[in-house]
Amino acid sequence: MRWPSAARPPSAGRPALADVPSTGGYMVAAYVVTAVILVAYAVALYRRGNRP
Amino acid sequence: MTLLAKGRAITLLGLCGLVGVYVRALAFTPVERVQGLAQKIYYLHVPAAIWAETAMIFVGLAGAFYLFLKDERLDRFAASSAEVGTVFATIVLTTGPIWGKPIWGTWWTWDARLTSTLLLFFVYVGYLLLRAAVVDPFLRSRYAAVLGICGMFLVPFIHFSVYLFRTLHPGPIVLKPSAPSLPAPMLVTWAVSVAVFTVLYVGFVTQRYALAVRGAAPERGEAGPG
Repeated sequence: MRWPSAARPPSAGRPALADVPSTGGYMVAAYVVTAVILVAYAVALYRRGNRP
Repeated sequence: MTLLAKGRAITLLGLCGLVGVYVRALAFTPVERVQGLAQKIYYLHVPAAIWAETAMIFVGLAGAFYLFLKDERLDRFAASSAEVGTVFATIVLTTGPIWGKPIWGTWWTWDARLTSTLLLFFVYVGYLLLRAAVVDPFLRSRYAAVLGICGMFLVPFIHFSVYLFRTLHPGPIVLKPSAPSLPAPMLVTWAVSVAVFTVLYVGFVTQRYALAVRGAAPERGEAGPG
């Protein structure tokens, strides 16, 4: 894991991507999983509602 | 417009809002300095946790009132809220480990917050299994109400577990007596996400409630609301 540069003060605003640890893959996984769960449940409810 | 159609419309609104949350969180919210992009999981994990716990409180309250009033609407609402709460608890228990791995170095640890949240999920699953297993509608509602009340008392324990025990899980960032520890842009994204998850909860429960009414109508020889 890469850590932010100590020379850059916290008030310097939005950090450059090179300054932050590369954890984007985990973020993408969490966002995809959440969308899949919510959409799957919405579709399941829709299909249950269409049953005679 | 039928109740089911209303629920579908609210759910669709919520899903569109979720797209907005994704866009705002990914493109218009600053990247946290220490955790990097993984911190953005916060905008999904926490709203899902709030509604997983709030849904269980509603299940317990509806169950408690059902035991006194014997109103079937309360039982149907409790069953609907429990099913939707299970969905949100599933999101909490999947996004949590995905966030924990890069930050804590482990997918899971048996600390108080994580273990009690897993217990909440099991209570939800047990509640749904109980409802499916008991045939008699009156007994089913009564047993489910008691289990829902027990689950409700688990929620404060989950919330305060980070104060009562030494845990790896951080304490509340926003929902605490002092001012939120988030910068304004992150706080706005979090608030928007909580609002969208609220809309999704309302939409899901409305649909599920309408389905429960329709399922119960043939037993009484009535027509459902659609």
